[in-house]
Amino acid sequence: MPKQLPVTEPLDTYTLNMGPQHPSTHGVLRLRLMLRGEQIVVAEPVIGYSHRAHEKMAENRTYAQFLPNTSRQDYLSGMIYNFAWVEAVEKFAGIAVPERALVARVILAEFNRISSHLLWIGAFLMDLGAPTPFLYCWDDREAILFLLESVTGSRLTYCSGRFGGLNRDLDDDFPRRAREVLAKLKARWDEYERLIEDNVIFRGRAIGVGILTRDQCLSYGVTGPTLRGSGVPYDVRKAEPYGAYPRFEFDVPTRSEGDVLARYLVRVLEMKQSVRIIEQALEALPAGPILTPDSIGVKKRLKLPVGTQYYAVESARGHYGILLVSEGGTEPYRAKFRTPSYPNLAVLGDVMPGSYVADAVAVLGSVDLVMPEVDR
Amino acid sequence: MSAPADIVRTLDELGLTVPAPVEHPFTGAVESRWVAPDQIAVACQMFRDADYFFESLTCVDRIAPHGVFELIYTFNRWGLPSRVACRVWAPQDRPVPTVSGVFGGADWNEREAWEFYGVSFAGHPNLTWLLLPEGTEFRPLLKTFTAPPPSEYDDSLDAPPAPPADAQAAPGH
Amino acid sequence: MADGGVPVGLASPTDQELERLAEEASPFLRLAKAEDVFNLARANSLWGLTFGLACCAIEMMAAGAARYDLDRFGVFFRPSPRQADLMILAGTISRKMAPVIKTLWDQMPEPKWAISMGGCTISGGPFKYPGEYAISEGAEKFMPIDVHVPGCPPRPEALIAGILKLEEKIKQGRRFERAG
Repeated sequence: MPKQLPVTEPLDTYTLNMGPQHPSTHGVLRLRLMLRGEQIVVAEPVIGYSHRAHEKMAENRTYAQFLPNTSRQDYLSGMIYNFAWVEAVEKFAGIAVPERALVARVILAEFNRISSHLLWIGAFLMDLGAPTPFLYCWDDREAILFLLESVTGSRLTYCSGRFGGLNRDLDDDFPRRAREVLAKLKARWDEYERLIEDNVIFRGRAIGVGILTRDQCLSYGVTGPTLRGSGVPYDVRKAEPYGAYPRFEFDVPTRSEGDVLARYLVRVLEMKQSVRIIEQALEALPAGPILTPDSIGVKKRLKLPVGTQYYAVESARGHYGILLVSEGGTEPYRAKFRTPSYPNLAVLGDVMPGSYVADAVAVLGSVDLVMPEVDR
Repeated sequence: MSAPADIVRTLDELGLTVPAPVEHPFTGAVESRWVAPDQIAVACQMFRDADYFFESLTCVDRIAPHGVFELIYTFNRWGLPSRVACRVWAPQDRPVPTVSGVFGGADWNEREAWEFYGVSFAGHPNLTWLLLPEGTEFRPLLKTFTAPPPSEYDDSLDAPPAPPADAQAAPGH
Repeated sequence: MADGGVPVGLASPTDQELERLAEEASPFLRLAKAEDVFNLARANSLWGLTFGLACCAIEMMAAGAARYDLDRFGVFFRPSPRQADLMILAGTISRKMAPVIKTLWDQMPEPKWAISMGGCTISGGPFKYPGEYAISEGAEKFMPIDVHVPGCPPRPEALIAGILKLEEKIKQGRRFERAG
């Protein structure tokens, strides 16, 4: 269980406050660290600095009016979150989605996943003291964002999902442009490997640091690359397949060490698997409508039947679940968002004690948190 | 055996489940049961022993018309779809036993249920504010909550001042 | 100069004579008040505080990255408020965070400026609705803002335009001449 700081500190320790404004806390997180010398004794995350009341807003918004909120929960996987809301409502209401839209959603979601991991690599390495990968990774990311902007109109917070498809079709030139972006990415993998993974300082800061055990993951419900770095091949796209994912072949990369380097390698390998999925999806993109003709929800208010539903997808950070309680109205009675960063942060209260202050930044970065997702 | 069907059968046999108090289907889970509020910690221990992970805890305001809070615990396994939902109908006046000793992930979820709804969990080591500022007195996710008290950070201070009580309509000047 | 003495001949130039002097000397020499020179230096070297709150922070970081490079404008992010003179508020301000921001603003030494980036810091953005309890409806509720950059999130080019506007405000002149 995450430990809390005692009311009176033992004499040989002191409390160091990290955040909420800190260049390495990836958003507004406050970590109250109790240190004995340089060793962490208790690490207590204090959250809530980014609480924006998504769950209360969901109760006061129709299903379509809530669409802009969805991307803003985790803005780095904005496309995945937008599609998750749309798919949850479609499943609840029994709305059919045309084939082209299913495959297009997979393509856009996987590009979003790659852009999220590229951002993470850049920001994480900058925290460890290496500013160069930041510039390289973010430039690659700009190529992806330019592509996604040409389809959806937004760079970061997307709102292109509709109940029954997408709002705008992929144009005929899209597969060519997408393949260009993939070629640019594939040309970089070797460069990143030589720049980052062979670097002796990075290896010294990442190997053996922040070991997360399988039992801790089970107790807290840790998911995503953080879990797969500890040896568990759990991915919602394989465990509970949704959308068009069952049609494509891809592996779930896993590493058994459980340290920071393992989590880094899992994400790099995941990007390569995403490229593999996109290539298959571009080949398999069928012709047809992008939105079912009787799509409602934007022009006419959608009413869901009475009941409770849990729907889960795999975001860039892990298992994202939406629990919708509907009492038959145009608005949800209750919408709960089970975000992956929430338990991934809670477990750090158990992982950090025993390591050094300098490792706190490495461990925090390796878990890939997005604070607005924790605070909702 | 730890398949979902086996676990819920054991829950039924041990008498931890109760009949559904209301007709409200739950989709998205392989199995779902209604559990007695006093027995939820025992049920959670069974899931822990069977290598399930703690997926989520949701609180729903059912005060109108039933006078209870509905707590939905979901558990899952790292493999085939194995989601099990345990729904608890918790009366407003009695605290629910905490499961944070069984699953570390329940710690923050229970704190959140307390600060947004007012549900108390007996035995929780640190039931205090998590997301809201310390000392917040209102419980935002209750259905009866519509607006917070005005503060220096919102627009209510910019509202035009109410006209004085003795203002008369100007007689055509 | 002793009172009652004979004037030496060098009187203080009037403003008109100064302007004439400046015009004649301008191919070789520029005359300006010291404050104008300082403002030029301040505007062309705004050091920002690394302070991202939510989604807009990512676009701010993208503006600082390789493609939209803020360093060419002299904007260089510093982690400590004592070393920064520009606070770019990027992201929604929750009520729990607002006192923290005010503390950071007070810690920044004068002269300092603030850019409020994104709809959330201007007026609450997409999170403002009747009955909202969690956010602060705009940064101007508790601190002075110099430039507002609307958008959700604003593109990096929009943020750069906002920074150039702030430069214009500081030095009372534009970095790039207006076309036409």
